Amino acid sequence: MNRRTDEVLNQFLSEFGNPPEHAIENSRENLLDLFASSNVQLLEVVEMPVPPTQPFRFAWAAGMALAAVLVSVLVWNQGPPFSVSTAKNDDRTVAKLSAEEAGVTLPLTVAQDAFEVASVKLVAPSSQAGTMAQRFDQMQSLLAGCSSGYAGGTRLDPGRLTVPAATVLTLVMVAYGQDCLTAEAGPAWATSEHYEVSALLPAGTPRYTTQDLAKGEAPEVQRMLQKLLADRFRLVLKRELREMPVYTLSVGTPGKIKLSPDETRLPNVSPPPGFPPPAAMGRGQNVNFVLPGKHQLSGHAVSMLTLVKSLRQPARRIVIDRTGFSGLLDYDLEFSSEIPPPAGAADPPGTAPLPTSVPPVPGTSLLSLRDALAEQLGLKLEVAKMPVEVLVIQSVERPSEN
Amino acid sequence: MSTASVLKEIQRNLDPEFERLFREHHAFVYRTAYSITGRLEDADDVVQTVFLRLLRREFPPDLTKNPKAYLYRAAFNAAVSVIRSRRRNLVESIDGVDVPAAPPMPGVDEDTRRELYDAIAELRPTSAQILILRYVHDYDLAEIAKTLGTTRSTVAVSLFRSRARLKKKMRKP
Repeated sequence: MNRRTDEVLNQFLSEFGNPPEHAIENSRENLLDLFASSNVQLLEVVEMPVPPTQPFRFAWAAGMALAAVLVSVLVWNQGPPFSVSTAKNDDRTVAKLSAEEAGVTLPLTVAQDAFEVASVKLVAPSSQAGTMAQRFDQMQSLLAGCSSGYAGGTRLDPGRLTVPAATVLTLVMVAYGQDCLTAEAGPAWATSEHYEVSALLPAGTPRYTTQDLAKGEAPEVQRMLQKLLADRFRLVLKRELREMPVYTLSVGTPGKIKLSPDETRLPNVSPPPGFPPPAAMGRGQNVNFVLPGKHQLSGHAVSMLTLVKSLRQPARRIVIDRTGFSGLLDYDLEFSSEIPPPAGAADPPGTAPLPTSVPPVPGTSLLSLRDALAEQLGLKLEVAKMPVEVLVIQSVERPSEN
Repeated sequence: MSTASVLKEIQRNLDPEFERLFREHHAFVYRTAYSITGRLEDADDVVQTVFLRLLRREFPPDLTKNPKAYLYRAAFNAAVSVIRSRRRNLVESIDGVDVPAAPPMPGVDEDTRRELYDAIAELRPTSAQILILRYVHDYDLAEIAKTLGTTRSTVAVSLFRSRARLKKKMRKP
């Protein structure tokens, strides 16, 4: 026993400080680049091919595989790996606004928090990263009803933020936690040119995950990004209240939503071909799948706000929670990718067109989102028009060479 | 302009003394950090912190006298801060998605490995430093004693006790 312990300890001690050589090599090269940038206050725009990061490659591989079956994207948690959240689209920002306020311009201040060091580089459109970013934008457009807002491969690690390729509008959406339906670009290049952003976070910045940033729940980092946009891109924004078509979600049949029991469970969804079956879901987790012609959403002990956020993409409009349900619920929803309007009701003008390139699954008769919500959870999805806060780019400049 | 040429041009602007120091000691600092944190991502973070501080300030006299010993202490302290911060953020880590783990170790199961990393982090700083210098950097007793400004016999006793503590930890159910 003692001998075995010695052997294991010796084995551990001989290995425990030996990271893989490639990790040391990568670290050295990345840091040299970063320090050099920091030393010369690198602000210049450098046109150079940017090798995609590992997650970016993975996302791209997934995108390619799923493109082969038209549009299929595996979505975990809050939408695609980095779709901009709808954190602001709840009652706190929308419902309390009165209709009379539509058209009003609200003041907007820029935060003073700053990254310790940041570099901004233009991504060549013909580069691998540039091409991928364009395709991601197209995919995002198809899925969410508006382009931009998809910063594939973005990573928020302890002390560092890396965005491999994102448009200025996407960076604005990330920085302000804005939905792509409620952000308006300025010049055309703000939605077509992609920039790589690498930044060091100052010591003491709270630790957030990439998911936190994607959900708009990394306020310190978001404020630093706001400052970077104001400094490097001379970005000037304004907030406006505009009447927009939205969906409201309310209780139609009381008693159908039940509090989540205290247990673990498996999501009742089938992943796209090539993806592993989802593991047991812990409390507070949710998965979303977009498959050809259908959506699958599954949640375990999540809040109504999580469900509402998950509905944003299939609904292709902002969804407002009007249920008043404050507990945690479970759901497994499967519905067709299109939302037929209720009989006799035309979509309000300005509504994003429904996806036409996603065909229904042959031989199946799936419920619509509206019916699935009514049948399983007793919830009512209704069209409404409401004043919504929209972020408008007033002026922006390409980052100048320093 | 290719990536390589852009980097080369940028690097011309880096202080040659700093660059020399960085290239010479990067792997040493990285291994030290990794041996304490057990995570590649954290090791990267520590190296960045240590050298960024140097880049921002004048080189301290201690560094000029014995760069290795200075960088070792700096890496050790930064890595311990990471561990403490990790403990504070334990709940976040559980909820988080991206916690890059160390590669698997043949012959040592994941639980034991994690427990041993934790046990090293719990050792007295000097004991942990001695352990790391011995097993990660292959220093002999005399070199360790010189680096830490102590005696050879103190190092030997400390190593013996640290090993005993780790073994005790491993035997606990």
